[in-house]
Order: sequence, then structure tokens, then C-alpha cells
Amino acid sequence: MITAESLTKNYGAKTAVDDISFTAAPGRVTGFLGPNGAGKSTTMRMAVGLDTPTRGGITVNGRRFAEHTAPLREVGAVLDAGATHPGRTARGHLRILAATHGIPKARVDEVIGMTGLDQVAAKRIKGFSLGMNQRLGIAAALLGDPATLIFDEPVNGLDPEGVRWVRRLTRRLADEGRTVFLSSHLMAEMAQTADHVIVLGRGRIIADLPIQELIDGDGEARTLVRSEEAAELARALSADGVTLTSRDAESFEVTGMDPRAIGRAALRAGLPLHELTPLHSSLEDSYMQLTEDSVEYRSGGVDAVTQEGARR
Amino acid sequence: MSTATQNQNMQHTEDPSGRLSTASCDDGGEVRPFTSDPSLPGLSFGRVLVSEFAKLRAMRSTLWLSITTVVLTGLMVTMMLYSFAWMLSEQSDFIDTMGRDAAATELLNQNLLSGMFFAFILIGCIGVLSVTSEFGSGSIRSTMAAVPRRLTLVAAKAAALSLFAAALGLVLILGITLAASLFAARHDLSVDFGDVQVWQMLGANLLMIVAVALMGLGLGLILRSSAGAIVVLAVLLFVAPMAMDIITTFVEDNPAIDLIRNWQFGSLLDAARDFGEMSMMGDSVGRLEAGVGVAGWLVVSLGLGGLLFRRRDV
Repeated sequence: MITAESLTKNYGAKTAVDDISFTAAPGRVTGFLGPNGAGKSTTMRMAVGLDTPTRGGITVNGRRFAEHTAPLREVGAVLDAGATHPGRTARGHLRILAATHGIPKARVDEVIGMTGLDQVAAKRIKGFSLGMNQRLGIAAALLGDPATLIFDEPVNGLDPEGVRWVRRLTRRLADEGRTVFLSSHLMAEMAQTADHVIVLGRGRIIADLPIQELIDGDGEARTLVRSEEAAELARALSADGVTLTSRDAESFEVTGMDPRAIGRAALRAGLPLHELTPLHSSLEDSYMQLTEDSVEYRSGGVDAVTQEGARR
Repeated sequence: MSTATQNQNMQHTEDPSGRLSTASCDDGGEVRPFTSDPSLPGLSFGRVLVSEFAKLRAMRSTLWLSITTVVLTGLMVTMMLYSFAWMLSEQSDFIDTMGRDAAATELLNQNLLSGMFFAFILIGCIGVLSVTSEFGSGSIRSTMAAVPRRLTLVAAKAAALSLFAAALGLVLILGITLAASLFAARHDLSVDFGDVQVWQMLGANLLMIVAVALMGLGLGLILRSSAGAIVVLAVLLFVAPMAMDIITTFVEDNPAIDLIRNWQFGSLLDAARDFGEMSMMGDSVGRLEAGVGVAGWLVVSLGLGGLLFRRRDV
């Protein structure tokens, strides 16, 4: 369980995290979503005491992180893949961390096995790829068998097999009743991993809701209608509260009327109907709409293209 | 744009499983919150000390600096013994005027003073790197995710470093003592180990080795940069004493300059372990005062370093 209350962090004049309050509950994967620079990492760093909040606070399992008698057994965190000494071996790195809590060497070998690092455990970290570093970070987080896990962009640098592994691991950890708090700027990744999502933009919480609500969220359902008598059919469907958007000569989108009603109206008017497709908005659409105003580093051309793509 | 569409497609095909689990978790509430076993051991100073000591030993830089220290100290002592051999052959009345026991003690004293010339900066570097290497590599964040109590961490680092420096210092001091004793025996002299002063001398040297390592740690905590801290350490040990010596040749009898000259870290480090009859320092500070002075420098550097380490974001 992670609880933030009025959490605020200023770096000089810049406000990285602006008065946010949220809870990441046990037994589910809470996604922390937002564009680069939204304040995700800063929030996670404050959760494990690396950064001190300017105002407000954040507790883990009911206490500030530093107040726990056995911090590694409460929280396992992967904050950045490079937080290791390049000269040490993977096993050496884990043993040094384990020693602080009297965690036995057998547990070190266990997490090495769990993360698939057996082959490289005796090698120096210097030669590790980003993916291996991520696995090592996760191994360190699992050392203390903690109740809460904090992963900052854990799939960065992982190959597809690794991405799937992280997805299953986070699912299993949550199913065991642990709190899993996971950040990403990739919406597609979140859709497959998270149960609940907190969307952050420019240091503020934009949304805090179950993932399904975010996917379903963007208001009215749209229906794609295709007919060789498109213009006639459109006229037949016109009514109060119904919006028709033309796509091409044979098709248009309808909002404000469900597919059954459209089908019946077409039958009454005696007009042929070739396609009647409910359009789901993707998580990506919802996310883009949510964060539209709070993207810090916008790239003109590419962004315009993506938004156009998202609207289709 | 086509990739974006593909992604969306993939998302839709894999979505159902995600939805199912979402429902079971959010609605069912049958998942019992996981709690860690409170009977398992937690954080303690002793355990952090073990971890910090293992870290120090695992560092390549520590190994190489230690080897270099031993080699350079050996060279300095060899040079020192050659010059003694020359002095004994040229000035045969040296032993007679001093007395045999005093001459042997002086021989050991001079070897310890000069032999440690390079050892100090190298051991200081071990102290610097014991903390700056963690800042440089980013491993400090892993460390603090395991040990969030920052002052406990600094204390454990200082204790581990002191133990390591003392062990290395013991090797150096025993080596120098052995070399000086063997040399003395060839000239019919013997160091009197029944003399308390000899043991005080060995102890003072050991303490100053630990002190210089801790000074390095303090500077590393303050500056968080290997290069920066090592430069400041070199200034304190070599540059400042030399500069003050040069200045005093131009400006004589200036109390302010004498004060700085005598109480700067490098001078105190030598004054605190100088048991010689023919001290080169002239009107320098007494041994005990010098020891207190060194302790003062350490309180300032470690105190400031600890305070900054506790307050700063990592």
C-alpha cells in the first residue's frame, strides 16, 4: 500500500510534483502513466526516500520508508537500471544488499534464478546490456520478498520475451496480494499490465481510475456506417442529439444512436446497409485526450501525425 | 501511422484476459494483502557494517591503491635506510651524542615519518572513493533503497573504512618496524620495545592513517566527486604545507601565518606522530595538541559531510 497526501516537490522554481494525493492498493497492479517529465520518477523516488518532499508526504505500508525496521522487506524498488557498481559481479551486488538485512545467500541465488541471471551472475556488471541490468534491478527488488514493489519503467530495454516475463511477474506479484506500482509512458503496455491507472501530467493527477474506465472513458460511442446510399441513409438518421460525420462517399460515423437503432432506421427507410461497426476508442485515444494539455516536450510534426492517427 | 494501427489491433486481441483479471481483483476482493514476515531480521548497524566492508573489499580501486601504498612505502623506507647508512658511516659520532637507545628510536621514527609520505594520500583516496564511487556509478541509490537511514549508513561507512585503513596501516607499520629493526641490528643498535614511547609512536602513526582515510570520506561526502575530493585532499596534504613553508620564508614572525602553518591538516598529521629528538618542525604544535587538531578537522569534514548527505536528494 502506497499513500501520497498533498505530495509536492519543487526543484528551484520548477514544480515537478504538484500537490498530488493517491493510493496504490494491495492486490492489484497500479499503473502510473504520463508523458516524460510528468513527475512519475520523482514521485517514486520520494516513496523510497531518495528525494525529500517539499510539502506533504508519501508512506509505504503505513509508514515513511525510512521508518521501517526492515525496509527491503517492505519495499522492493527498481528506480533506474544503472544503480549498480560496474566493477561488481551481479551476485556480489545482490549479496552486498542482502547483507544489510541478514538475508541468506540462498535467497540471493533464488532471485538470480527467478530473474534468469544464472548464466551471468558471476560476471561483472560492466558488460551487462540494458535488459540484463533491468533484470538485476528486479532481482534486487525481490530480495526481501517485500509487500510493495515499485517499478519505474521496468520494460525499458527488455526484449519481447523479457517484456512478457515482466508482465506475468507483476500480475503474479499482485495476485499474491502485494502492492505493485508500475510506471510507464507506454499506454499499450499499461493496457496489458495494470488494473488501475493513475495518469500524471505536469506534476498533477489528471485521472485516477480502473483501466477499463479509461479505455471506455471517452464519452459517446461511435458507430461506423457504410452504405451505397450513404447520403439518403444519413438523411433518414438525422434527429436531435444525433451527430453524423462523413468519412467518404459511402461511409460516415454516427454518434448519439446505437447500432440497433441505426439498423432499424435503415430497414424502415428501405436503404441497403453494408457495414455497421461499433467503434471503440483505444486506451491510446483516451490517454492522448487526457494528456493533450500537459505534454511537456511536444514534437510538432510527429505529434500532429499521431493525434490524427489516434482519432481514426 | 500503420504501426499505430497495428498496436491498437494487438491491444484489442490481448485485451480480454486483462479485463478478466481486472474484474476479479477490483470486485472480488478475495486477494488477501501480503504482509512481510516480521520475525525475519531487519536493518541493523552491524549488518550495514558487514555490507559496507564487503563493498570496500570488492572494489578494484581499493585493491590497487592498497598495493601501490605498500610498494611506494617500501621504496620510501629503502631510500630512508640508505641515507641513514650514509649518515652512520660519515658521522660516526651521531650514535655517541644521542645515546644508543635514542638513536634506534629516532631511526624508527624517521622511517615512519617519511615512509608514510605517499601512504597518506593513497589511503585518503581509498576513503574518498569509498563514497564517491557510489555517487559516480549511481549505486548509492541501490544502497539507500536498502538502507534509508542515512546517518546509520554514514556511520557504517566510516566504521568499515576505519577498520580497513587500520588493517592496511598495521601492515605498513609492522613492515617499516621490521625493516628499521633489521637495519638497526646490522649497526649494533636495537629498538627498545620495552619503551612506552615506542608503542605510543606506533599507535600515533596508526591513528593518523585512520584519520586521513576518514578525511577522504568526509571530503567525498561533501563534494560527491572523486576528482574534486582527491584534489582537495592533495591540497591539504601537500600543496598547502609547501605553500605555507614558502610564504614563511618571505614573511617572518607573522602570528596569523604561523597559526595557519601549524594548524593546517597536513602539518598536524605529521606533528601528531613526531617523536623525534631532532624535530624538523621547530616551533610546531605539540603531539597531543596536534592530535586534538586532527580530530577537530575530522569533526568538521565528517560533520558537514554527514549533514549534507542527510539533507540532499540523491
